[in-house]
Amino acid sequence: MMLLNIFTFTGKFHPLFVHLPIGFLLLAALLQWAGGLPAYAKIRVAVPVTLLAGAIAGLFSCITGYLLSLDGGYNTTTLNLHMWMGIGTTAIAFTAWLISIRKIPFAFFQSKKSLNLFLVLIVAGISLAGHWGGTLTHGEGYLSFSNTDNATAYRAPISDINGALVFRDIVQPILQHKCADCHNKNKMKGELSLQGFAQIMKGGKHGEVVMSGRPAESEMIKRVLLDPSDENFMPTDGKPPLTADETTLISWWIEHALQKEDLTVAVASPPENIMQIIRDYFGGGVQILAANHSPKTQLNTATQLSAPALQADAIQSLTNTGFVVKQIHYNPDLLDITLPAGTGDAKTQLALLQPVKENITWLNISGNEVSDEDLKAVGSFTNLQRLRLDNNPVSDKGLEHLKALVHLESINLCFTKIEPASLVMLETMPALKTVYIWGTALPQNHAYRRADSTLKIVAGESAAGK
Amino acid sequence: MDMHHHTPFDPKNPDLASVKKLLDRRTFLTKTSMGIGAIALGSLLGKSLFGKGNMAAPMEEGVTSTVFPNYLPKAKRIVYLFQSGGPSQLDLFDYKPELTKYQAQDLPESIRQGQRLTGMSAEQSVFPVASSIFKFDQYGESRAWVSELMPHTAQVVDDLCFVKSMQTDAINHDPAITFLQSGNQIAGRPSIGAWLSYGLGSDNDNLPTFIVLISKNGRGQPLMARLWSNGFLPSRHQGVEFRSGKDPVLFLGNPEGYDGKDRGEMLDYLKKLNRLQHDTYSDPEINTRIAQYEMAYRMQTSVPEVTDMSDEPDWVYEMYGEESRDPGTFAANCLLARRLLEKDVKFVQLYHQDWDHHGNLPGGLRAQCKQTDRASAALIKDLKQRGLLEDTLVVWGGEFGRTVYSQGKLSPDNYGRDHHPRCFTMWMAGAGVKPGFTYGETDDFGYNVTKDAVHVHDFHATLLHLFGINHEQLTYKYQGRRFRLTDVHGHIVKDILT
Repeated sequence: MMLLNIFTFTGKFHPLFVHLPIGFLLLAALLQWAGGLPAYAKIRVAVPVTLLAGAIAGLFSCITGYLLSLDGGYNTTTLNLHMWMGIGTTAIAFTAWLISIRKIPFAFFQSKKSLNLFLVLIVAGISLAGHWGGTLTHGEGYLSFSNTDNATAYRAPISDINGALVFRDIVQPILQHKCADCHNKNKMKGELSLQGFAQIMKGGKHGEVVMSGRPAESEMIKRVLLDPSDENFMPTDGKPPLTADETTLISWWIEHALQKEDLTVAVASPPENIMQIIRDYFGGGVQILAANHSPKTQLNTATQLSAPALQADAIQSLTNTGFVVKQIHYNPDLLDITLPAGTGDAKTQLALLQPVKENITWLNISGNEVSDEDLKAVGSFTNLQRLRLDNNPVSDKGLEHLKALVHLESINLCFTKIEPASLVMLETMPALKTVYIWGTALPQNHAYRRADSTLKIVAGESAAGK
Repeated sequence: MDMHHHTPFDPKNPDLASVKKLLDRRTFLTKTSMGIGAIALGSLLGKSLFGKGNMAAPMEEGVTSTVFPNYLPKAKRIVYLFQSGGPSQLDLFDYKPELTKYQAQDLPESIRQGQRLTGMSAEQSVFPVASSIFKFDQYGESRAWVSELMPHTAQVVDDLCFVKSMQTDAINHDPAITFLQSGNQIAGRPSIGAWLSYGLGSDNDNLPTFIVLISKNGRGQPLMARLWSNGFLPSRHQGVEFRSGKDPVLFLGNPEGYDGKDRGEMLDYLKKLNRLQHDTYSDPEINTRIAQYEMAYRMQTSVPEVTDMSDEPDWVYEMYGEESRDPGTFAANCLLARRLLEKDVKFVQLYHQDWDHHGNLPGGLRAQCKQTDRASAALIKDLKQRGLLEDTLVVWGGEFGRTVYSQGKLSPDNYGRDHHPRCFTMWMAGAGVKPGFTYGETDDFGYNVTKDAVHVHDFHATLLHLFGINHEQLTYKYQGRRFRLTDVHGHIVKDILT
């Protein structure tokens, strides 16, 4: 057993060794052919030693490769092709070496033509062996333009979670992410592939892996719930284990939704706790793509706002003109922008914000001599949630421009010229929760406040002016 | 000055000398020896390790996660009023009327449950229960209990969120305060402020992101600069201590005979030299150094401006208390904190010492509250009226609580209390936490948490959450592992979030 372990361990160096003969042998070909050019005529003396190095490295690769294959679990057809092509190429490389030092006593093998022919064979052999090796490691279809295989083939985005397919959109991506590195069509560890509904149903070396309605007895669940130090724990070798949410989802799938491959979430109608996990996985459910999801915290942190993506230099160019710009959300790209007090002409500065007008979520332009007229520009920042206008000569007339800000949650009007009429308008704003009115002509008690209002009006604690 | 170092490499007209300099044999080997190993490792592990396509580019060396914030934040700044020494929750906020029934009786083992004690009281033959001698009352619409020692805080309870079920692992000052400030009992990890600076950067390039203010003439347990250390994070993330008096930041003033222009010229030349050095060695720490010099130069103007409080009107000083006119007091620091927060300094850390009342607690606590109560409440009111409380998180609390039993002799009007890690009270206010809210409960003895325990790691996780940071993703790779503020722990206290 120990011996086998050493073999397997040594075998694991195959992916490292295998690149040496590739490099050496291609270099030998390069030296030989570039040597045909008058300027490089001298480099051909290096061909024999490079070939020998390549051949020896090839031998090591063959040995480690064979040891690695003892580990099992590879698609035998591809494995055999890869192995024999590797051994063949190594043999050809040794022959080419002998040719290059002219040790083969036949006329043909004394010619330059024969060496060239063998080098062509070597290049072809390396290419094929390499391709099959790649297929073993990365799975079939790795080398293709579409960048997908059947299990994760592209589907148009769906906008509603209920339309998602339980298997294709929820279960398969988890398995693909956490299990398919070892359990795919080409590298079937335990003779099990977890790519595709049919393959999962077929099971592996020890039989069925999922038993409809009985998740606790299903090998798939049993294995991931073992103690991580247990020999049979999955995923093995310290690869990232399944999260509690992922296990819950798969358990639920086995228990309730195993019967049909194309069951939708709506038909399966999961209980609320499962639904919550699904929602968290898709982060609001705007874009549901099989290959595109990662676990998220269960807190609802998704924003309701949507905004166009930022231009690459947008933040930098605003910073150069005196703004302090912080990105407070990515995708959608949302910004917190401050114009430090007294930076310059408010009208010119606000005009600079036009390219990012839908990205501004927090805006602080206090103390910048902002006029009623200037607020027109602010009225076009449709994703504003927090606005600080304090210490500016703005009045009721200017606030009218802000009516369309449906996401505005708080507005700071301290030390402005607003009057009670503004509050009537502010009451109509759908998202507005807080208004700061310290240092205005408004009475600093709450006498004028409508009884049924939910608007929180924060006045000054200190009656004194600033 | 020869500027050819700044021109990019042109393959048609190669300047091989400069390439050679950047990539000599030693540098090449240093930089690539790890690389080859990494490539081999990647090949061994297959694509799972590197196959995550949408991973954002790292911000800098050591950074192992994505860009921040992870989601829309609630908080933009924080002021942390650290009450060093361990204020008694039983005499301030955690009202236990039942205790009078057990006054002077030995603490039942069913409550203590073998809890370890410090060497200062472990040898006592009895552990007499000491009820608080201070009167409690309910205040505000939230009907929160506050003792008579905190009359001003009592006026703002509707803006506060009390957490009465705080828990820590440490029972002594140094490990406990280090734990609260850095998430680990042993020194060496970055402090909360350093983590925030590292994750979110600065909102004001003229002032440090993380500023520390310490009440002057502090007695009791010492404070160490490592509490606001950057740990293994790049050095620009450490807290900068502002001192009271003539030089708020040491070594910032010009030497005698220098004027600002001289200094500017000198720094320009120094920058050129540093650039040359950087072109030779490509060490990112040199860029940090250049940035530090530039920051210090800007601070020569910005720091005197923000620390000169002569433009504050009289009513402000009345609000914070008359001692706020005396630089370096807790009250003056609260006022200075407000000024710094107005300038969008991200993290202002206050420390006030001497809450460690092993004996003569009533007298000591009275004095401490007198120094801090009014100014803490004023800070809340002031931030609120200026509209800053909605995106500023205010935190008040010490490193642990105090025991229900008296350390030393219990008399009708005097007692002491030993360190108690199993429960203590903190309050938060502002950005994203529920106002007028109390979370967590303790037993009738104020000894054990009976409901909704909040561990220090949970507090850290919640704090980072309010800044839009997933505490599991804010990591830094050091000595071969990824470190977090919350180590491998931390649950966000969802119930206190708005």
